[in-house]
Amino acid sequence: MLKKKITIKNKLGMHARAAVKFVNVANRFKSSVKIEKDGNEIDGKSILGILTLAAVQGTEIVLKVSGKDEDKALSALLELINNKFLEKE
Amino acid sequence: MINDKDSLLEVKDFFQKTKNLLKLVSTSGKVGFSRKTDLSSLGKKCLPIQIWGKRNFNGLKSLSFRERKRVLNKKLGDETFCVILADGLRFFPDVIQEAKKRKLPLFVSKLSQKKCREEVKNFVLSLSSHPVKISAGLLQIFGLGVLIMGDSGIGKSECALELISRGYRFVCDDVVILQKKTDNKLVGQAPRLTRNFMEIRGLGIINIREIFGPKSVLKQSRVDLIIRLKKLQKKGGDSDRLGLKFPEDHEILGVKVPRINIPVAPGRNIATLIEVACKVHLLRKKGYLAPQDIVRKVDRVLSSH
Repeated sequence: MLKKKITIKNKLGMHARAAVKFVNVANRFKSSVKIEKDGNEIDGKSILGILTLAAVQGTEIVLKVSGKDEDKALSALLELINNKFLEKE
Repeated sequence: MINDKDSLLEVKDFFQKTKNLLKLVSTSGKVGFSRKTDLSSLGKKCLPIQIWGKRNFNGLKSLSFRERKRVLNKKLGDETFCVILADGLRFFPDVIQEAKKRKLPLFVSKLSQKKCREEVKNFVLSLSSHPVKISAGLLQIFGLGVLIMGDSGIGKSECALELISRGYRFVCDDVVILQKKTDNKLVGQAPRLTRNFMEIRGLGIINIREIFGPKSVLKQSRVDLIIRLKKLQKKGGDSDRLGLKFPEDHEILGVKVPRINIPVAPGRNIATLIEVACKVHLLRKKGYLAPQDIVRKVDRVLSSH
């Protein structure tokens, strides 16, 4: 299992459309994706799960990816978050 | 409630939250109200609260002055959180004096010692259960709170939707907040943000309350049974075809809940399977076990030859 701590960088945080983008990327891979915030862990492939995190800008989350394609999945998800969910702002 | 981060309980909070329940009166004013105890280390230990009743009281009364001091020294140690004198008794002056010196809070309660113990235990149980969020769905089927678990994409939501359309009540999907209540039962509810909502691939986000009406949703439910959906393994030779084994226990927050594993495969109607699993569980609780029944019947036929 790969673990990586990351900070949400975009201005609006993990809002609905960002959550959709995240889930779509996560679902491209076979690995399971979990997100941990404040000790709570949710499924990274579920939109409602991500929305309940209510992660605003500056929130630290931990991505936990495990499975055959975990390397690719983690780097793709990190890229998405680091690119601020491809938003213009 | 104390929050997740600090697991310290202060006497002040304890007193405020239990004074009505226990009919507590403080004999020492606000002495020692800042005394703290760590709840995270509790586990099996009970709260370091001394609850004295008639017996302790009479025991103390019969002791000589010096003996009494020795006993008090032991009982009123630094680890003690507070002392509650039950049965409507009053503290001796020397106990009060000793406690004041140690800044130890003293309370008297009109309830019986047994009742006090019970209430304190319940109070501690309610505190020590921090809610947890898990990824699952929660519905009420035949009055049973059923938690549906399984990997993402296995069809939890679709199955929940099918059950809702059959008239069962929906609590939440995807994220469930579970909490242990004082009666040692798990209660699940939806995070406020996503209450009544559900996400179905192909339909997007839907609102169950708006579609099926207010009767179709429940704010919270106890968790009586866990259904775990699993992909059917092709090898699967060791599965319990008779259902002789009792459901395994699944532990959440220290509460054991029976769990039934249901393999998912094309051609298996999961909603119906879950519905029947609930019926089976109810029958089992009543004492009827079909596998045992047939084993007994077969044994009878075999032994008559």
